[in-house]
Amino acid sequence: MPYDHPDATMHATRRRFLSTAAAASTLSIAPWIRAQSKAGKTYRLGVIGAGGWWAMNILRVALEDGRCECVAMCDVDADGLEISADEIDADTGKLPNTYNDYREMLEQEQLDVVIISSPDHWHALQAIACLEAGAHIFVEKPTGHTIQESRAMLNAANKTGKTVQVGLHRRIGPHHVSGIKFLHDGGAGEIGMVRCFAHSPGGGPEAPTPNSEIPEGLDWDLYCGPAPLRPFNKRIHPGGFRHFLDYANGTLGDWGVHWLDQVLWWSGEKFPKSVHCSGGRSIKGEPVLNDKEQTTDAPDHQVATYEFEKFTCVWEHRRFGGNDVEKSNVGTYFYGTKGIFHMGWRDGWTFYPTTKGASPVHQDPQFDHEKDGHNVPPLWRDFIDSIEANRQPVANAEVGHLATNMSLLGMLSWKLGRSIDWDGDTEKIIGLGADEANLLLRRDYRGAWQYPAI
Amino acid sequence: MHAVKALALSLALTHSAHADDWPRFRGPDLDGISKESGWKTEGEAKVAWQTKVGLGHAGFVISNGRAITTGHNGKDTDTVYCFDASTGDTIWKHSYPHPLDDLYYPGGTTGTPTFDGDVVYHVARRGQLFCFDAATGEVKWSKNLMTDLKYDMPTWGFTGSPLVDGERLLLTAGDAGLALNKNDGSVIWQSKNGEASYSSPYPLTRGGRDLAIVSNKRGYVCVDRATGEEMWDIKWLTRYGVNAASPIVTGDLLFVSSGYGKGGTLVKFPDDKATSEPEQVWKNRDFATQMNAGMLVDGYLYGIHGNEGQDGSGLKCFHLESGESKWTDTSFAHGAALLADGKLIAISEGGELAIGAVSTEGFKPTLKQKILGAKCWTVPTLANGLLYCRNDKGDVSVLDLRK
Repeated sequence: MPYDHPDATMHATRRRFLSTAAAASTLSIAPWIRAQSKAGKTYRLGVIGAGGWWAMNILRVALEDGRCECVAMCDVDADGLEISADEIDADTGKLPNTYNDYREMLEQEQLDVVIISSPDHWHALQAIACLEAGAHIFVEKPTGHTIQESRAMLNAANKTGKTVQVGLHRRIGPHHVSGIKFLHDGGAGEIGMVRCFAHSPGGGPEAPTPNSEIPEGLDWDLYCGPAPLRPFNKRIHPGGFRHFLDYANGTLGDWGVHWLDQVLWWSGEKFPKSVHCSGGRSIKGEPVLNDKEQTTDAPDHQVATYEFEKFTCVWEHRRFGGNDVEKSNVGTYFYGTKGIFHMGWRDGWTFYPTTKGASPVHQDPQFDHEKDGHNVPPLWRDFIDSIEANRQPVANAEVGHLATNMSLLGMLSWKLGRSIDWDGDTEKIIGLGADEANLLLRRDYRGAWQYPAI
Repeated sequence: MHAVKALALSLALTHSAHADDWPRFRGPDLDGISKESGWKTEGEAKVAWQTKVGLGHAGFVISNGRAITTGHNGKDTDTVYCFDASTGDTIWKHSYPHPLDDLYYPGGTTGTPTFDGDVVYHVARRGQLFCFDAATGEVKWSKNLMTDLKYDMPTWGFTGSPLVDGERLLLTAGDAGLALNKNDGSVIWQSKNGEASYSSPYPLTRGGRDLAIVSNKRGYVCVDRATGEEMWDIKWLTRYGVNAASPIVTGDLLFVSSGYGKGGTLVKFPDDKATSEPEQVWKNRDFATQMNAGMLVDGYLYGIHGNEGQDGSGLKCFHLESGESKWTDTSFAHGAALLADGKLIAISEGGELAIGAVSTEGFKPTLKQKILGAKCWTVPTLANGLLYCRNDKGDVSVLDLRK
């Protein structure tokens, strides 16, 4: 059921306070410049996972672009949802309808466009539901929690013909575009190896966080959805799900998707031939999960090696011991015959020539959003332009799927504890022990939730 | 000990027109305003003493020549430090095991202890409440809000400073506060389990009843201090459930404000009855106090608006009744400020101290000095002519502002 009014979620035993505030407030309407869409229509936009900070960033970009109107928001956390709806009301003067369940929203609202920014284990299921309901989607990476979920999302995109843009804003950020061009133009010579990495400093043993009562207004059962129902813990929600493997795939499933995608973009390759990944929790310690307390369970460091036909790609992350020895804690090195090229984030890109005495070549980044250091606005424009021109956007479903596969293949090898040979055409692991390994391309869902067919 | 105390007092009395202890967070009147006068407002301030206390954001409290704060060693231990307020010599310290709990910040202690005569109270983020002998650091009694009183830990841990109220010790815990006997920690009343937020219990009296405003994840609740009975509440939802700033009460007006873009609301009590819930005068997003509440002078609030790294964060002057901003100095970013003798004492997030006259026209510091490295989110404490400042790494710099 949609909440008829945000106050419906109020503490029932307390007298209502400010119950007329939303109606009575005289909020200024932000001066959105409404660029009319080509079709002359304003798209009906809905948001799944609207209570989250990043969802609101994307939504604000969408509203600034001017071709969408936010009519509906959905989140399993009623408080987060109310806060976000209130913010949009303050920005635009229009309070969107709010929903707990995305299925209800899709049924009621006849949405043209949906932003999906829920925890990772939801992306594929919700994307498929939106596509089947006739909506175009802007979905956060990764496109699946397991490989076959992501494949099912790609199939649904192909079948429905709806436009899918995956939130890989590093496909369109100016320094990424110019950097990849530099490489394609042979600026670094022949490249035989690449290394993607994301390190953070500090770190230490992780003390378990006590489980607690499910907060008022949070539909924890629906939060977990198809994934295992863990005891509620504040480390998971809000905002901490990425390091719980039931709901995401740790740093490799997060940063890894962005940087490994740069490798696919540069190489034009779709998948590796083989993958080997090792890592663990040598600093954070063994994961804890019991009825009293829990820790995260994602590895605090990982090294994955991807063999391609013509080059080797290494992923490396540490959630400790990040410092400035390597000049940068994040990005991708392309090792070429003419030198080393670093594709970075806030540090732009830099090419370090092999030739003695030659000066490095550098390009600063240009972010549309300086504080968060991203380029979501051009990605959004490309998304809506693609809908209107009926063309494929820069980070379409296949781009997102293949980049997601890179990270998920690494996780799969790590879970198996051995290397795997990958047939990317059939999307199956091949060779000795393939049957066992292929079981990890999917997972059993909880309760009545159905794993999508491919 | 007494000699030290006498020396500190005599120094203070000689050099300050009016000197004061600062025994609790937000000060004697819980308004962030010190009554000290006659201290240095221009030139350069000398460093009286420096030390390191470890990670955290706990402030300093000063009483009877003792200065107390807390910090974390970055591994597994919190320490409560009691220093000689004038010299920085350690009088006692008390350590206990505590995880770093570095959730979206480098971690460490967050709450400021509270002096009450010969004792000092401190709550650890994971709920261990201590009553220390202020002179020796001996633990007179201790209780755990989680294991003994069955409260869930708030996301960033228990942070509000204890409020001493007669024989009661009021704490921000559970859905609507907790009152313990301050002498032995026995329960007087306790609210049901729920997620507490991060402000300190704030006392007020209406209709002859002693009340307190406590915060939880979803807003501010007013309770009877004697019984815990709930009078009314203000639903104030913020991203991450953070209601950390103390309420501001003036006459029949009450102002609450939170960060994360939420902003504040001014409400008005319709009459003097304790149970009458206040009615909204206005609400807007123009003065959003994530941590430290502003200081009210002649109808204007002065304080830090906004969050770390947010555009427009800074030191702000804000007209309370109309809800309109007068000026914002963004050079202070997400720093901290206090007020004394008609002067603003502000520290920028990056560690630059600035002192200047309070004015609705703008802030023109007469003293500016880089005193610490980033990040300075903790409000400095002014007591007996000394200004106690710290950053999140636990670098402490005590400045001598005596003339």
